[in-house]
Amino acid sequence: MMKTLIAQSAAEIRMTLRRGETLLLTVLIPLGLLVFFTEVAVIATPDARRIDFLTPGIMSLAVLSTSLVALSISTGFERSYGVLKRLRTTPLPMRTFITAKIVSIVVTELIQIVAIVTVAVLLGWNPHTSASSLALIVLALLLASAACAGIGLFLAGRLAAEINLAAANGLYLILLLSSGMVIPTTSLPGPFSALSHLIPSGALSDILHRATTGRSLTVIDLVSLSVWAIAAPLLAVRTFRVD
Amino acid sequence: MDFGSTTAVHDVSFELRFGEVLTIVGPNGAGKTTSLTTLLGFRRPTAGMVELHGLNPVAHLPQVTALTGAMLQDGGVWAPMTPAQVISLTASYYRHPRSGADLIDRLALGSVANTPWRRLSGGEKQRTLLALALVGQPRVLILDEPTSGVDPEGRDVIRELIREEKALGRAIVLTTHELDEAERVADQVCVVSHGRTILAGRLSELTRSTDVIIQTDHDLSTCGQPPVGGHINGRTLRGPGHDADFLARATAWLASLQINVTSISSSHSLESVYRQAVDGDS
Repeated sequence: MMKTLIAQSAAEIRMTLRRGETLLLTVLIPLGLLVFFTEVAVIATPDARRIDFLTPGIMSLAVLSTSLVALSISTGFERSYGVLKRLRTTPLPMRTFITAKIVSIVVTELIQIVAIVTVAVLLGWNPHTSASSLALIVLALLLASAACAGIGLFLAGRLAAEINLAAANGLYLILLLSSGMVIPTTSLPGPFSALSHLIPSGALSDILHRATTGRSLTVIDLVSLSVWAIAAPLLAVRTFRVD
Repeated sequence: MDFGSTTAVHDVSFELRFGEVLTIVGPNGAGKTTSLTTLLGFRRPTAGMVELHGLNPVAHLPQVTALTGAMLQDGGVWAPMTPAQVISLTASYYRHPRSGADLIDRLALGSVANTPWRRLSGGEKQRTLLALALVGQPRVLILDEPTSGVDPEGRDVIRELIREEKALGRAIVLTTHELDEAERVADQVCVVSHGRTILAGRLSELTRSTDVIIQTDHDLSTCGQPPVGGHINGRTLRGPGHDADFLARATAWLASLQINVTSISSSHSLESVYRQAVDGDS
């Protein structure tokens, strides 16, 4: 069991890190946006320093790009190419297969977070740090990863690979612009600002933003993220088709 | 087996024995692949019973997959993985896997063992999928058109491997469109059409004829009346096998006409048996 999990996880990590488009989506685009919007004053941020607003937003974007977009696209093509159908005829348990994907996501996100924090610190980021804020950040990242993975797998398990590719990229763009990652939600038209707390990426951005600037947490963000983290994976499990 | 309001398979029965090859043949859309995927537990039959290793494959999937090797028509591999990598990874799913190096050697994959899946030819992909089906040392092997898209040399490799696996006592079910293929490897044949079995039995029994069939090098339709009991069809003269004198009468008649005999047999080809069954069903 452990031997299988280690072998499958290693294979997943190797394939993820060798996929050029994944690296572009998960590492280069977030870092590029962080550097660009920090150095070029094209948006008005609620914080005195742009880096204090952008870094938690870009960390949210990293989760979105890995757990939702990259996972959904790769799983959609695995389904389309018959990989999942073949695996279904082997004794590889589905839980081991999914655990290996989770391990791969966690490893990728760790790399992303280390890279983002390193670049942000070099750009002058000086976050509020305490044990409770760190614990909150880790919890929020885990909940958001589960929620985004659930959404990504739901799409991958129902749509044709090419349609899923378009849907995942479209969702990435919409969530990037509407979740307070690079554009403050206060800039969004009336109801959209409030609605951003009800979507996982918006709730995550707000939690990370508050945790890293020493402000108190709002309950709605944590409740919203928790509901998504439970509901989305359940929906994916109930609707996923391997063929 | 129903898909919405469409019944894909509704009366397919076969029993498989260890050390034998059962070949399922039938036209496109006859229900061959649906029968195999139902056998593998991909879907629950809407009626009837499916058992593999004496187990319900839907309810006992882990036990069934541990004892079964399957090669599906649309089964795939991660595009960047090489045959060596994916065989090694798949071996880690099993308790007592077969040697990957041995499989690569047996399936003549040595020259492409480190080539990514996306760059393999159709035949190389088929042989890799067969290696993946075999790596767990299964008791039952289920192969959906294993030689489809494979070049003649590759087909020989696959056929030889099927014979070896059969000799090792594995029960093998395979589907094919090619009756010549079926005739080469099958012990039992199941002809499926419109989702049901229209003919099934041992190959030797299905192709056994009660007639003597004499092939000649001349069109016999212009040669007048054949000997008593004989029937002419082009260059073929057919007569009753139970009539001990028919063969003597027939050869004497052909000799009097100075017509050469090219073969004498008492069995049908699987193709003629198949055509008769399918034409009768349509």
